[in-house]
Amino acid sequence: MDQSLRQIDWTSVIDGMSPEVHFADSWEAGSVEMPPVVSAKISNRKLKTSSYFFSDVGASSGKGASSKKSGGLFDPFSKGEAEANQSPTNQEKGAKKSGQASAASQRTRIQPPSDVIRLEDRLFYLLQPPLETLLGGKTMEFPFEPFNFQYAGIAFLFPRHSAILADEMGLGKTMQAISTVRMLLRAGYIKNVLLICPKPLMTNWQREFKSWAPEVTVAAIKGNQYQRAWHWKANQAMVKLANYELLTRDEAMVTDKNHEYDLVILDEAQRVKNKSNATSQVVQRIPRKRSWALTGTPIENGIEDLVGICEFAAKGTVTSGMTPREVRVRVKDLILRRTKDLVMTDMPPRIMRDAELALSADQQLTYDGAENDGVMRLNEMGDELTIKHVFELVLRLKQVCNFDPATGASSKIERLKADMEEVAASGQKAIVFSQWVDALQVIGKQLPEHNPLEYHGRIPSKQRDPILEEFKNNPKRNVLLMSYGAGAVGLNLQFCRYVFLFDRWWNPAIEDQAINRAHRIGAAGSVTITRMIMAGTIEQRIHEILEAKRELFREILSEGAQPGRRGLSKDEIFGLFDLTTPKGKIVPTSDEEAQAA
Amino acid sequence: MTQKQPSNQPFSNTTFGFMTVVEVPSLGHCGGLLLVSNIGRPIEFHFTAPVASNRTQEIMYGKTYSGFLCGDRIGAALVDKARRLPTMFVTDSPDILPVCELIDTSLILVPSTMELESKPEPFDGKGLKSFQIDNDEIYCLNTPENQLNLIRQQAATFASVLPFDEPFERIRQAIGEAHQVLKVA
Repeated sequence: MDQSLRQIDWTSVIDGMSPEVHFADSWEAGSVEMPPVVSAKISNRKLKTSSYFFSDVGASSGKGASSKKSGGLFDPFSKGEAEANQSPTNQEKGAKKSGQASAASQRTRIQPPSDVIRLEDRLFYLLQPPLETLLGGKTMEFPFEPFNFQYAGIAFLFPRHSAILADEMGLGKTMQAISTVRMLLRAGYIKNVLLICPKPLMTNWQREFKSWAPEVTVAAIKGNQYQRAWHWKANQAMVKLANYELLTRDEAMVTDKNHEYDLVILDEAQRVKNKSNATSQVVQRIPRKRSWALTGTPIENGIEDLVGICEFAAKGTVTSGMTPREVRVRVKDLILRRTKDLVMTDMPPRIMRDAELALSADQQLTYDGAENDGVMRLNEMGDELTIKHVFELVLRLKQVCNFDPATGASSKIERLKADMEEVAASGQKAIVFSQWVDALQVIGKQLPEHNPLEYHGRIPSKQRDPILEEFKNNPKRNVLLMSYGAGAVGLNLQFCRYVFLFDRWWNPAIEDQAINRAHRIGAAGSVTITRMIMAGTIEQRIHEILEAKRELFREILSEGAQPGRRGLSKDEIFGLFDLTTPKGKIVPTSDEEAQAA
Repeated sequence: MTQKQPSNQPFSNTTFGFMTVVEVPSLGHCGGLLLVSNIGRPIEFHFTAPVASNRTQEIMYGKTYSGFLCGDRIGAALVDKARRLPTMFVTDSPDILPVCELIDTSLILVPSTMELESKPEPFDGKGLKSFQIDNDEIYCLNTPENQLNLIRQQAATFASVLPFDEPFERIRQAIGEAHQVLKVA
């Protein structure tokens, strides 16, 4: 072969071109020298593609899979053929009327959970249209348009086999669960659901199903043992509704291995926080494919509560002894927690002020005496000591923090008087909360210029509504004195801009409920909440414990999360005082669950 | 590749093939085709491996290179994989338009996330037409005059359910997810 001939490997130089080297033959080589010619052909090499085909019940990849006709599942037009064939002009008008424009601006997507590994499964979720489109259709009408965060909640629950929806009370966990169940039923992903709730909430769930998913059949399991047995075996209803109280009685039927549920939902799931109690044991053994827990308070006292709930929702995810940081990582994809502050961005702000006050001289003297005597007495009790004794001392000291029993002196009342002048001068109204009716009556006497009204347990029920009307409509009535017990739930006082917590309740959730009388949807403006705390006293110690709990809650769940229904535990109440005997530190022996609230 | 023009079918039977090209950093261009039902539910999804730009081809194709890469290569590969013939193909990328040479199905260009600097050049024998939906100029190829109104109606009906840019958003997210998963694998 001629030396001038060259072998050129163009492929390493030019991708996509095929080199064709022309070799000079012998006569060419002997006569006129021709330059070598390189011809580049454009490659039509086929591109590598990946294909996925979707049906109503999941994804299938590759060439072997067939594409099934979609419809039924999320198909809002499946029953609306005639309407769907209307002219586009009518369609467009209809769409705008029914709020499609808003649906277009907000797009909530179903995100694949982290435990969904296969790409085709992940793509199946990712490629679904936004929930607003799916739910805004003609066959899934809702009584009212869900909030954006509620769409997000549905998108969270929909793909999950294990989930804990831990939204703050009042954000619509019920509606989100029902809507997702409705979608899953339509999708054919699930066929039978068991919903377990506290007995008093049974009728509420039935009502909510009627409202949010009228086509979903619900059977409440009730009656005598024969009737219940029939209900457990019957398969007519899509959703069976049972209460915690009957689970242990009907254990054999509810845990029957031949009857697997596609989905089991626990409402108020903190009921199973103690994983060793009988109800928890039954719940854990219910045969099921999906497990959802609904609770506003996944952590009441500590991480152990979450361990109990996880035993049902995602066994082994959280175990005893984990640090908050470890728990946070483990539950990141399992728990969804939102608070009103976080999601109701259109609500006016809630301004919290901690008024740390010093005891007056009289109060200080009484307080010190009461504490020293009290602690000494408790120490002397030794093994006789129970939580009740400690609790009595705490109450006594809290009362002294309000008023000196001998002289009536009170730093709190002085502060309240000053603040109320400002409130009244600006034409606003305030609510003052206390846990004691007697204290409310003393406060009332100290604020005559504000024409206080009282609302508490000693006021007969019939007189209560007129009191609220008077407070709302009479501009001279600036202050309502309310007990936590009577005023914590069910009242709408959103015309009030100021709330004073004269003394602190044991349980932050009760305080939050009280505050929410004024700070709720429809509030006229920002709501200022003043929490009165006497520095260096039992009140401050309780406050610190409650704040530490809030912090734990925030650390595990999310920034901005609120505490749940968490009072002080038995150990925490004992820990308020440094109780010692000659034998050493007094440790409570009672098994009693000492929730103060 | 010859495909049949869809007939005057009811809207519930219509399907839409959303096709776009995404630039994957350091890897090249990647195409995605999402076939959806009349309400946007996914039926098929195809995506190509990333194609790196080729300097020689860039020189040879000049300003038609993008059309060659996105339309003749990526678009063609995607269309070839589709099992179901959509009522129309929808793209937001003018570079994909040359794929119309390979298909007979209507292809519409919607200005969703990409701003068109000028009207796309017409393709021989295919004829570029346009109509408006919600004040948006929609360009249409491969559509005979007598079918244009039907295509407009079907496109407008779809747009009343889902904005045109939404399925493209899904394609981009899915391609991103696929690359992430494949990279880990």
